[in-house]
Amino acid sequence: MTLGDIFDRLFKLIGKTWLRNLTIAAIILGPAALIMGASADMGFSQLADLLESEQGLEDVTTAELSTFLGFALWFAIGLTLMVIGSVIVTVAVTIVGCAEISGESLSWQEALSRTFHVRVVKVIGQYILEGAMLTAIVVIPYALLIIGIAADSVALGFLGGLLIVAAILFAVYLGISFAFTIPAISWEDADVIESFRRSWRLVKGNWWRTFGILILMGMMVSFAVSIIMTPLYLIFLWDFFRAYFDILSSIEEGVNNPAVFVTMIKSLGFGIGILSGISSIIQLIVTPLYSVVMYFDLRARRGEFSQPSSGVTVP
Amino acid sequence: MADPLFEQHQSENLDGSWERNGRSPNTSALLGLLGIGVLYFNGQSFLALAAVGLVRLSGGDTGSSFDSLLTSFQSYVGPLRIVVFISQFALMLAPTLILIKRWHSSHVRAYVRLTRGSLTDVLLAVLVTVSFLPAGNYVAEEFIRQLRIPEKLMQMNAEIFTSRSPAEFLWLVVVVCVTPALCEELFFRGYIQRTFERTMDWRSVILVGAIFGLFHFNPLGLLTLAVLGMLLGYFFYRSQSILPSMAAHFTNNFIAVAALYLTSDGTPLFSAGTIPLWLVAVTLPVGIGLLYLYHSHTAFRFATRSPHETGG
Repeated sequence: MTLGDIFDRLFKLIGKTWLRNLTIAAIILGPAALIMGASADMGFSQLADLLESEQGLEDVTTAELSTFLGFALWFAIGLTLMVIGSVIVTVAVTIVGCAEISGESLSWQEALSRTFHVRVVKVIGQYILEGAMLTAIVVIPYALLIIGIAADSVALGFLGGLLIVAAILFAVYLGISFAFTIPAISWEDADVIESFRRSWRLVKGNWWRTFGILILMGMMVSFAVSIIMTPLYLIFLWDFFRAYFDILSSIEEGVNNPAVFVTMIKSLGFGIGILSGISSIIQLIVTPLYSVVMYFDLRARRGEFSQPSSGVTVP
Repeated sequence: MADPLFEQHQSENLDGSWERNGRSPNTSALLGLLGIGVLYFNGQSFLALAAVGLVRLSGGDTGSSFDSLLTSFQSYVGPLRIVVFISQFALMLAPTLILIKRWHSSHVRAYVRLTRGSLTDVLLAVLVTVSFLPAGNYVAEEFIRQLRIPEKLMQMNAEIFTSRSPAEFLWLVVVVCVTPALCEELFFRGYIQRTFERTMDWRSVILVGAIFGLFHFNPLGLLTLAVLGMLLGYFFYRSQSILPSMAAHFTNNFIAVAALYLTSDGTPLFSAGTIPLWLVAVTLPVGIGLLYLYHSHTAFRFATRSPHETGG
């Protein structure tokens, strides 16, 4: 497929699957976003009340602290659910996309059922393994740099700096080479290690092309999300921005008004949860699909659809 | 039954690579919108950063209070206007024309409907825009009032459109009025709406109008800009010519630039002040009436447009 064909295929795929994908994302991520928003709202409100009260932050009682930590815990639960939810949605949307390209129209229920059928655990394992590997690649030279600075060694610091640049480039190289592990697990039911091998083989010989297209698609999706999210930020954080402008006015007038600062903190919580939920939902109903289109394109380039027994429509 | 897209190819010289490969027009519009959007905003940010950096190197200063911020911002305004001018032509118009020529038609002028239109259409489009202007500004001002944005911050925001001499005014007319009327109209109406229109017909007016609002990254002006975008799209759709929307866009921006022209003693040439509600109550019905007139005036031409223009 040429670049134009890839985009044509992608937009058609988004058009065909967006409602199912949106349903999946809303069902999975909606509750997590609400938990995050509500807990952040209560946490920020309590923090604001403490700032407003005469006792100040120095004389916080154990009961107040435990209530605050309770909200922080709920926020952490919401955040964890959001991360796990994102993985689930990625797998489910990938399955819907792969099925659609293969000529099978899956309902959102079927896609979720297949997702929870072992695959999601493998994908979490894959994420952890890839994350740890890429982090280690960058962290080791970074540690060398820190040691060099601490030991006042210019040579060690210079070596660390050079290695960091090399490590980042290597991490990008690996990141692109392993970009199709999720479709391999979700659609081919590959094991974690096998998914790395599979993605590596698919990208081999097409690395620059894959890199260019993925970067281009990533930039376009980010742009689309940002134009949609900009007005939503104003709507959901209306009180926050109003308090912010009040603070600017009071600074200009030379008036110190801590009550406005408290209002600003109070109005921050719920909006953040909802906004991160909406942003994730929009990203996740598109992002996995461009991996899917590229995955089928790379498979076609490897000649995998030439055998009549494959049963897959050449994309 | 003949394929409507095939008929379009025959009658509109749709000889570009996108058309020859039978790809979806909607994908082209979306791809163009996002691709040019990424190029335009990233390129413009990069150029703006470079311009601000150059001013700083040449001794530009920043301050902590609004007044000193305003003073330092004034030193950036000149280079930023050049950046806007360059980026609109180089990063918005040029890629638009290239994409149309390569993907859709070698007859670019015909594709974007850069055809001689009726003078009455142009005049009516300008009058409708002028009539809708107070209502649009009233809504935007209401948002600013509700958000309690400091006046000096708004002043800083308006600085890029403010001129203090006839020469500066003329330059601003080129940058803020002529350039967007050409570049944005050819991009939004001539390419994006025109391409969506082939499958979506009148719905493309609503869609591209909303996108036009979102594209300005100005949430306070979103409603006003989206309505303006829909009006411009409607002029383009009904008249089958890009000239009315270009003229209307120019007028809309020209009024803003004229309202911010400051005389030698620093007072505005036209004391615009805040928009009173009575003015909106008077001009809005007039605008709606004129829009109806535009609708009636373009009815015959719209009804007799060639079959491929109706989307099959």
